[in-house]
Amino acid sequence: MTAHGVSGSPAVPERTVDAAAKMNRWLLECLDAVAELHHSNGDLSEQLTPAKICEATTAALLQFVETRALGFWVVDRHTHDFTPLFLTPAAEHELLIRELDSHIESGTFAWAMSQNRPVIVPATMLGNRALLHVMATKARVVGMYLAIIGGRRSFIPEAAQKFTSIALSNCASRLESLMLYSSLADHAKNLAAKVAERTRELERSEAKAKAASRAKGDFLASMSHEIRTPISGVIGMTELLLETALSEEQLEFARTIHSSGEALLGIINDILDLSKIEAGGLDIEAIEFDLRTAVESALDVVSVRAGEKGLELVCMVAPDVPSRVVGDPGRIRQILLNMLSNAIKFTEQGEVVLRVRAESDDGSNTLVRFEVQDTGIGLTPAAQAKIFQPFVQADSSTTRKFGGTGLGLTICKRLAELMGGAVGARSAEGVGSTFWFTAYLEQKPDGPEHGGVVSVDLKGIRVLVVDDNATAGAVLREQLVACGADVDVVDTATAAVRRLREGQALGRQYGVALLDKCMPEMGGIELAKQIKSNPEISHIPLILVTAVGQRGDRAAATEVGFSGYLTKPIRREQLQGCVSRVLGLAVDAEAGRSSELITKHTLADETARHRPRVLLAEDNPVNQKIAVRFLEKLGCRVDVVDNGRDAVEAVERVSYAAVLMDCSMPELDGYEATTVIREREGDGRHTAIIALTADATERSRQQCLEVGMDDFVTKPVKREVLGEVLRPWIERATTKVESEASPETPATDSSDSGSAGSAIDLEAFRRQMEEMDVGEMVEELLETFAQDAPERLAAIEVALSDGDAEEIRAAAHAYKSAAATIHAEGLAGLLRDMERAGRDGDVERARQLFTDLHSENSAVLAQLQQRANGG
Amino acid sequence: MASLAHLLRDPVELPSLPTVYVRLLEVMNDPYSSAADVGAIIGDDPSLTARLLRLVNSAFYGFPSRIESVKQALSVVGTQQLHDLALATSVVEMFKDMPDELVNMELFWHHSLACGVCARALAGERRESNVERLFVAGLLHDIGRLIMYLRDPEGARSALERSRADNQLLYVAEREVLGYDHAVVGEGLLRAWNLPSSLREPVAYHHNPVIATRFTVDAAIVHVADIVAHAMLLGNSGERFVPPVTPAAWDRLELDPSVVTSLEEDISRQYAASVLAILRDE
Repeated sequence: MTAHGVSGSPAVPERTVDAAAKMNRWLLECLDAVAELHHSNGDLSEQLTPAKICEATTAALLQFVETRALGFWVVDRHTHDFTPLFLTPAAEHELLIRELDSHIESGTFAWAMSQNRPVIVPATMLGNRALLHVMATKARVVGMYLAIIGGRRSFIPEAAQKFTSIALSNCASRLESLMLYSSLADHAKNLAAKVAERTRELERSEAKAKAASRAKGDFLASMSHEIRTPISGVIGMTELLLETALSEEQLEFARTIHSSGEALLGIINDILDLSKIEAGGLDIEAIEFDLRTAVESALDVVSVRAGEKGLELVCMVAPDVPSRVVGDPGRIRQILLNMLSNAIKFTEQGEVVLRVRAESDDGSNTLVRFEVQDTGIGLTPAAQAKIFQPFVQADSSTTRKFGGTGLGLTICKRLAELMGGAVGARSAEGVGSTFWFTAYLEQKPDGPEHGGVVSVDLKGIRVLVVDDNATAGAVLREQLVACGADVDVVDTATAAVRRLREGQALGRQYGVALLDKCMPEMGGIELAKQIKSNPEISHIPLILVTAVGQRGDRAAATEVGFSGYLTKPIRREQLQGCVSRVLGLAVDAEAGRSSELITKHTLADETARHRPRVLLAEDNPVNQKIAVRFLEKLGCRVDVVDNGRDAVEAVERVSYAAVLMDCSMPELDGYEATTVIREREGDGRHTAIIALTADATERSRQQCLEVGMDDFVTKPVKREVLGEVLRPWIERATTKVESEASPETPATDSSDSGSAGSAIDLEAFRRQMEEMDVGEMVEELLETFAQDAPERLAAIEVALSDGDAEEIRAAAHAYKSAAATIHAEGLAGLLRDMERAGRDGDVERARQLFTDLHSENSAVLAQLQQRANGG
Repeated sequence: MASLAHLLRDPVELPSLPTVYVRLLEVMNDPYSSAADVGAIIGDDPSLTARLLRLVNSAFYGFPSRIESVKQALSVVGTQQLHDLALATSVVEMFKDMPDELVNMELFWHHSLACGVCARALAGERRESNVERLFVAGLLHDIGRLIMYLRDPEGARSALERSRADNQLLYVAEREVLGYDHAVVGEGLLRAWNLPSSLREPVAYHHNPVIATRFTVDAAIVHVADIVAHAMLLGNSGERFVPPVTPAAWDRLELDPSVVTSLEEDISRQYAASVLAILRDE
């Protein structure tokens, strides 16, 4: 770079070198200062304030420009006012402000705003100059800088001006950043506050929604109780009415009332169920249960109706279906009942088959598939599409012909979905339909195996199954083959006889034959007669398989010579147990128990022997009457109280086989009464308490268990259900009767129950004998009585069949004294009645009395027998 | 037709910058010189002084009070800036006596001034510190054409004809016919004048702003300013069409499209003032 002196004077080397060196140093300082500015940009610490930023910029500026006083003004975004931010030195504040004002007036200020470089103009104070520089970012003007430059050095080098621009631009950026940053921080705080507020609001809404939902649930529960109670009253009463003597006309009316009542109850249940599901208030239980038992119990309910229509009802449960599972047996049963009822309803002839199989298995859970297939009227494709929608039925005529609300399948769909499954239907018009549903159930392999494990070994046994229905035959076959039996199936009586004879001739004899009662051509009973009359094959034990159990059937079966008797749909254990018992095979205790023929009458038989005593605590008079009647028909003797307090007192005095406790009663309700009873029991005797409640929710169930109840029956009460539930307690009670020395004396009861604790009041008998000083004769007398009893009863029977009133009287009279002697009060009483009837010539009445007489007789004999066995 | 090399080869034939400007440049680069020295040099050239004062007192500059002296002008306008303005006026002076055969000189300078004013306005909007330099760059962007008209009239005419015949942009026709365009020629001239690359790059790349290397923003500014000047129909340098905007160049400016509309009034005013101040000898 050549240096030219001013006005063309010759170059001076030293000066040039000095100048160059100086320039170099200056430039380096400048670069450092710029670097410093750049560095400070990143500083956004908490303590940073706008004033501090100006301070730093001042320090930088003063390095390169000699300044007498300087100031930073910032502009307000909204008002556009300029306010001083940082003025230095303090002494020159006034000066600076006056100086700025003058430039604002002259217009230089405004003009400087549009320039992006230092504007140097004379200052108001003579000899000084003012340097105005706008402070701006690319986005906006942040403020104005004013410096009063004085002194000799009036020329500010270009480089220094450039640096000023850089420094002030940097200052403006930093001020802007700081402002944005704090604004951001404010926003964040604001936002946080807003979010907190919103969260609180949402929580409040959620709480409200929950409360509303709870209220709705409570309403549904209480409504369901309110609605079901009177309806169950209607239905129950009508059932009782139907059992009285009615004229044809009255019978028809009563039946109509009953079916209407049941239909109404069905509809209400459906609606309540559906609204519960829709409200999300339906809980699917997770309890351990036996799948096969649940399925079979559903079949039991519909078997009567199926039988009445002449439909074959078959059940096939695949062996890979787990037995013990965790799920909701009630709901599964509900769906099955719905589908089975529909199938039976829409099928006029043929069969209804229930198939259960495991669709998929992941080791701990199984997707179980239930299919109900019928040979009914079928569905059109259009109907199939919408049948699961609410209030839709196959077509409008269906409602008129078959009734129903169209809610059932919708509920099934929802329930299945709640259980992790689905529903579906396939159909061919005029051929039949298959309705299916799946449920996801957890396996519980370590429970007592019921269905999966074969408890009976029929290996090597040849069995002949005679059934005209192929499906039924196949099911029996499968169940027997599962036990290792060798099974053949034929579908006519003629074929059966031939087969049996063949087997005999070939040395491959049949060990047992199962004969279906209802077959075209020749039925099971006729066939049995034929077989029994054929010496070749008469020795083969026979089992009668019938669709609907009736009292007479069993008698007829025994008469003809059947060794066993089964009702369809047949449970596997039933079948196995029966076959093995018939064959005289040893079975384990479990199978033995369950091989009993479970019919409606079994329970009656059992209880008739012992007539257990049951306490009913129920405040509603209608429900009372119904429950009492049910219990009596079940063979129990019933004491009734109508509030919890009385129930507690009754339990204190009498040892009941079971207590039926209505949950809602005045004074002391069922829960409270139970709590008191349990407290008073302590570790002593435990009286079985069964809850009667209209509320079927999990919550109430839990409550019952918590207060110490043993079981649970929902209203409206079905006789079969009550029977099932009471059975274990009654059985236990009756076995206890034998082991207890003396029965308790009865409390004051409000109903006319029978006599003392058992059929024979042994205690009284003994006392009496001892009073007469013939105590040692007790055994002998009892033995004698037991020996004579059959004869005496037979005499009465003969008299009744002869229809001879005098004969009846005499026979009854004779037996009566014997019964009275041993203090068989109940028997004696009945015989007394019969004697009276005979004397009155009322053969009809006598015949009516015979049923009870027979029962009571059996009870007495059984007591004696057991006493003889066990002592 | 002359080749580019030929066109720029002979420095003697090329017009040269006036001495006063060269001296000005020297003083500017001397660290020991002061504003007074600069002022003295300008003061020595009365016509330059007059022109400069006329310019800074016009609406082109918009200073609220009257600038009486060069010294004051130096203070207010700034040394560097005044120097740039001096260059601008000098160049215009140089080509004052060119014939009007191929191009109407008045229209040419109108367009050049318009481009300069636009460039300056855009730079101001972007808060650039030296807006006057952009004014000069804008003013000089088409100077290459003047050289072409001077030294290779045949070639220039062919290019013009080609652009008309094909309805083609003139600079494209130039490239097709001659193998080079006026931007390249302009750059060559500025280089010959020893002008810094901060001026040369914008001129060289005002039609291809994206390939500029150092002064990319300035090149983009001049590019856009040229187009705006065309669109505002302020003068003409031979181009019949409004050239298309290169989107990347526009993006580089980081300006909202609405600025063009808002600046229009200022541009008009400043353009009119600059025409009066620079082109008229009052």
